Amino acid sequence: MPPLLELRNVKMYYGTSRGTVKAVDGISFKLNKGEAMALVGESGSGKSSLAFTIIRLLPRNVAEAGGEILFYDEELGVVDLAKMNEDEIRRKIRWKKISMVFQASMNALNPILRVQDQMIEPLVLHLGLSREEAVKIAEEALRSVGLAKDVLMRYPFELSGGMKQRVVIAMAIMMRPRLVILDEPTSALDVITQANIMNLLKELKAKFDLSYILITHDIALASEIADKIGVMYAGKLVEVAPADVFFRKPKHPYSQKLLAAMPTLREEKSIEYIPGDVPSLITPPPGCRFHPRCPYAIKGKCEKEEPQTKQIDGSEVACWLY
Amino acid sequence: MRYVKAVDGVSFALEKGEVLAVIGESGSGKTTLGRTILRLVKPTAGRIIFEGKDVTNAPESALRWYRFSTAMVFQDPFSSLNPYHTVQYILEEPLILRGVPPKNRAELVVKALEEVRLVPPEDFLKKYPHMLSGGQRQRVGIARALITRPKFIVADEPVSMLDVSIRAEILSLMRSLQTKYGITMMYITHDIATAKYLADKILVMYAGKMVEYGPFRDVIKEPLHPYTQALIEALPDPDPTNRFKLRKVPPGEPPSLLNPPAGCRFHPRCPYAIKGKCEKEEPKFIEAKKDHYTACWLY
Repeated sequence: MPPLLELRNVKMYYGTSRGTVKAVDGISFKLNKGEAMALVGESGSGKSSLAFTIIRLLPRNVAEAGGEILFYDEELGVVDLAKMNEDEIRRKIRWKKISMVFQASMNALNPILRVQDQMIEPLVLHLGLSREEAVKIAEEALRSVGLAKDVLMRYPFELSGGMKQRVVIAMAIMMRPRLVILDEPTSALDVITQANIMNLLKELKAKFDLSYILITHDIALASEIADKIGVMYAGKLVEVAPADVFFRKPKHPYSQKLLAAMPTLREEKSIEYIPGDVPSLITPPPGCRFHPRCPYAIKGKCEKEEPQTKQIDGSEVACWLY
Repeated sequence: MRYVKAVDGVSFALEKGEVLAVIGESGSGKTTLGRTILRLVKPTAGRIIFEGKDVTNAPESALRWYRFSTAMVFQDPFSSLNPYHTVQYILEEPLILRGVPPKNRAELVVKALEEVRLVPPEDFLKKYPHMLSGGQRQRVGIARALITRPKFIVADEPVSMLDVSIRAEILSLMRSLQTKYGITMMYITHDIATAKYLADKILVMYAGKMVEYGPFRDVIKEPLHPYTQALIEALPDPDPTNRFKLRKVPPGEPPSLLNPPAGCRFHPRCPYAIKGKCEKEEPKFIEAKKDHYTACWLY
């Protein structure tokens, strides 16, 4: 069976006054139907840029974009999102096939517009539905995220943070997309509300057979939903592994460090930290981009040659140790 | 005029060198508590006693010694450092206020940078905050708080705006400096997992009230209050089996402090609420086990 989404050597560089930022630099992976993948890594590793590249919300100052983003769909067949124009993406893909919950998007709700008007806008404007149809769809979506339909008539300022986040999730799923990209979907929420939202995301995934790409810097949160984990570092995907393998035996030294730095409540361990900082994406280090911070860097190798991705017991890892 | 009872009847005692974690969700009153203790806000009632002296209502002019004995580390490393000042001046300013001569100041600034591992110090002295990463800025914030050797520090969510990978480093740094100088500390956070690496005691707040207080390990091992239990249940440790389970957490969100629920403030969300009791009478704060206190009708 083909995957739902396949990325082949995807690149997205953007130009700034200080130079070209290589935010997404040759990323390849596959995501299956009904599968959730977490993209983890520190701020500035290119996680959000990768998400924007997939859903084709590219910055205006793109300097270079390349690779294939193949989306396999019963209705459309195989399409390369990287080759579709904005109009096609808007009519065929966004909301309907792939949607996104943006970071802090609950705060992007317009405070002076009723929830209903904000929910139906993309349906009426981009997808050409009638107002009545759109309201019906919005009602149904609210129900599936556990909100009553009278929320439609409320203004965002009347809702709590958790309710606003549910509205945003309802918008993402209302056209029954196959893939939802979640960019730090709980970052501004309290811990108990966060747990409630993660419960909701698990239920929606099972109910609608959704695929997720979850972007987070919190590996514990990633383990709440991810079937597999992708670790990003300085624009590169350094490891992709099934969750069961990743949490038991992370292969890349950076993955190991990320896990060791994670404060845990129940497990007794001392926390370690990763010395140094995330490198600049304008002038990333040569060879393996992690080598200046890596405790196992091999002199004469890691700082010179870039490691290729290899398959090792179920994981894909780009590191000269393997 | 309506009143927000942001902090409502909180009592505790801290020994010298102890670290107290104050845990609660946004709006639970934990930041207001920290600011009140530092007398950045005046309490409407109650007493704050520091080293045997009552600082509750002392006028600002009589508080100089208290200001010199205390310090604060702020949540946001981006807005708590003046963008027009160099790292050197940011660290020097508290020393100038205390009348430290210029020669000693330079020495103390270099030492403070070394202590927070911003090395070599000369690389950082002339930098402005925007030239530093979030983690480096927060280390400047910690250095600034410690440079006057305060006896008591309030650290308000010092790592919540940092990446998880940097949190560990900042926490271990704070712990080592706290131990080295025997500083008494109040660590305010919504994240119990980070508190584990610092705290000796824990105080859990809900809607302006203390709901649980005790030694950190005891409270985590056996949380008494249903709210504390929910906070712990809500927090995942990295574990791939998490994805097959739903977390047993109460629905809803904390109430408004303008109009909090009657009785126990947690009763509308509590799975164990006792009808006819919890929604009517406010539970007293009692010692349910040795040194372990809670305010709940179950005990």
